Amino acid sequence: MFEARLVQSSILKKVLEAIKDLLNEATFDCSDSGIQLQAMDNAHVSLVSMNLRSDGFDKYRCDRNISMGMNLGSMAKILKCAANEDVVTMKAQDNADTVTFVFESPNQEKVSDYEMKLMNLDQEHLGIPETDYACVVRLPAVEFARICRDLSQFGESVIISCTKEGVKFSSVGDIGAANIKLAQTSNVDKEEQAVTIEMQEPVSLTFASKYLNSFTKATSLSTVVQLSMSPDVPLVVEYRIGEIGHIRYYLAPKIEDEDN
Amino acid sequence: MVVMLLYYFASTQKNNVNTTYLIGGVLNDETGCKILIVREEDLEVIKKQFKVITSQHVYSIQKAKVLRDLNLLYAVDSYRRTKDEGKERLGAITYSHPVLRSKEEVERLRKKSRAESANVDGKQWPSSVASTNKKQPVSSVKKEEVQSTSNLVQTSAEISKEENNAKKDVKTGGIAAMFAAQSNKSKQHDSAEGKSKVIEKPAAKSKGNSRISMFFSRQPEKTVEKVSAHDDTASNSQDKQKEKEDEGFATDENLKPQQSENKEVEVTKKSENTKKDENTVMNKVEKKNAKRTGKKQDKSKKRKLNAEKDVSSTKKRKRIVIMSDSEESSDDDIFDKDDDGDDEAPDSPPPHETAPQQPESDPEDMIPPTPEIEYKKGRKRVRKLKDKTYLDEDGYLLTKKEYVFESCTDSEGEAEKENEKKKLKEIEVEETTNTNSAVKQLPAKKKTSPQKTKQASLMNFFKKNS
Repeated sequence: MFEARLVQSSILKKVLEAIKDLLNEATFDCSDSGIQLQAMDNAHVSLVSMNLRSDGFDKYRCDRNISMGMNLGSMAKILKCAANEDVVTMKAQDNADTVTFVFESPNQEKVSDYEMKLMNLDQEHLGIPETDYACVVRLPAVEFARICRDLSQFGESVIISCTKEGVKFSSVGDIGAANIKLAQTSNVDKEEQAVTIEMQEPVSLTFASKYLNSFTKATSLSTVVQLSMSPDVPLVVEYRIGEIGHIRYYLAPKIEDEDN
Repeated sequence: MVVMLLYYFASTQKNNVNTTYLIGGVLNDETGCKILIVREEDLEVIKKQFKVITSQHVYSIQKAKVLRDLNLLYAVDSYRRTKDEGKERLGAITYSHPVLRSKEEVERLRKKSRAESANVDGKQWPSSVASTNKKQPVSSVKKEEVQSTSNLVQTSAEISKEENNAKKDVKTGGIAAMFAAQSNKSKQHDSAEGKSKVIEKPAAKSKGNSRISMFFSRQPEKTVEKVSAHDDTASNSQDKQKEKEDEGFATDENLKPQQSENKEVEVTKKSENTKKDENTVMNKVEKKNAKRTGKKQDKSKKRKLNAEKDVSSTKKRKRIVIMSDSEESSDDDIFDKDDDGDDEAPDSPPPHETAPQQPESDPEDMIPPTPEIEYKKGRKRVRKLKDKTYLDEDGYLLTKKEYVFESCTDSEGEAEKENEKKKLKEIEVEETTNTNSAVKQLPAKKKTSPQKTKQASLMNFFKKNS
């Protein structure tokens, strides 16, 4: 028996909005410690890794580890049926082929439940090595979303260069070039609005703006986004999910064609 | 006749022997056809599964009360097969008119049969199980061959035996490649280049791993990369095995035909392969020639006069050398890029070069313009194709190839400036050596051009947890 109750259904809604762009379906691995999700997009260029800790739920029970393959489009449809202030409960029996979402209005006057069929998905978990990233940049999530959106107008690729002075996002395309430099904020009044850079060595990497834009769908989850980069290693874009977990996007850099 | 004899014998000796029937027909549930090996006591029950029974005859007779494992019947001649493969088989189903199927078709059938087997899942007919069992020894043998060939092929691929093996590689190569490089999906589609490289695919695979390891090697832990490489190979082999099993599924109605199919396919492919071999040989020869001629020309220029054309041509030659190098290296890794270069460059152009170059280099003092022009003409055409790709990428980027191209066009009409040439040469040599590093440094600015960068796959960075 699996049961997870979350007072803020909006969190789950946002999580789904954040991943359904990249993934059509994914496996939710539920264990005693919480709910994990790891999946690559179809092109195997990016990877979504989400974790919702069990202690973040109002009620969490998972007698036995279960993996629920869900069609995220269907799940999003169901979650759209929940109001933001509803309390959501996910339920599944052991070895069941369906999962049930129960939405309760705050005053308990309306209770709706939706049953969704589960899918058998090929599990291909990737081992993600622990990495000390050369650059870790924290910036307001909204700012990052704006930058990605703006730069994607110029070209397919965005170059993120990180130095001590700051981080530079640039893109070149048919209509011209765009550069956005963010300096490290000197005096931090509000932590959410700060740009901080922890750097061991300068890094410059190229990424597909399409994917970055998809990542920014998680902007509503968190005020701050953290970018971790090392040369020739996938970028990590991390958003915290309230007090309950995080969602991390890994994106393989574009590499020089000629080098090969 | 044999069947009738068996039947007669079975019916007369009914009480003394245990009879096994082979029954085939169309299934009740319209999911397809099946051929099953059935114990006598199960016969009636199983008959009900069929809508139409196309054949039913005595398959085997034993002087035993109960035959516990029907797989035994399959295993009867397994040792024979391992000895002289498929030449003679006893007791197995044979089919003398195999249908040659295309890859797609086989793929489709495979899926279908999988679906079928899934449908009938619960019942676990011995036929499917047995067939998989049966296939395994063969597959393992093949695997060994494949591995050995992958080692051999690169060094000398022209022996006919190896050709055969190579063909096996070709077959499994697609699958294996798919597995190894889901990341490289786009690359695989380059069928043109595929031909000349098919033989080297195993190498490509391993190098794909090496690429991963490249990335990981920059990480502190080196052990990780080894493990990952190992895992990959292991999983590769597993996949191959699975493939084989799948084949078993698909063809369990006509096991033998599959082998004969293989043969036929091989026969048809032989010609292709020989061509490939020739190609590869040609490539090597051409490369060598290109290098030699390049050297010769360098000397001749240094010694003697001639116009910048020479310089340009030498530059060109240098480029060619570079190209060939890149081809060699790229053979390992990247298919995309090679395709552009390989098809055009090694096949057609070098012959042009080698032929005219010799006359040019030998009679150095001979009238320079005419031979050069001819030479250039030959080259130009070829080069143009190549250069186009470079031009496409970026007009003003400093890629050396572009520059060379321009210089040769310009140089055609110009007179001689030896000193300048020499200087230029030296500079260029330096440049060429530096290009790699330069390219690496510059990309930060250049990278934005989509053609220059290629999206890497995450699979290059993370290894699968099997």
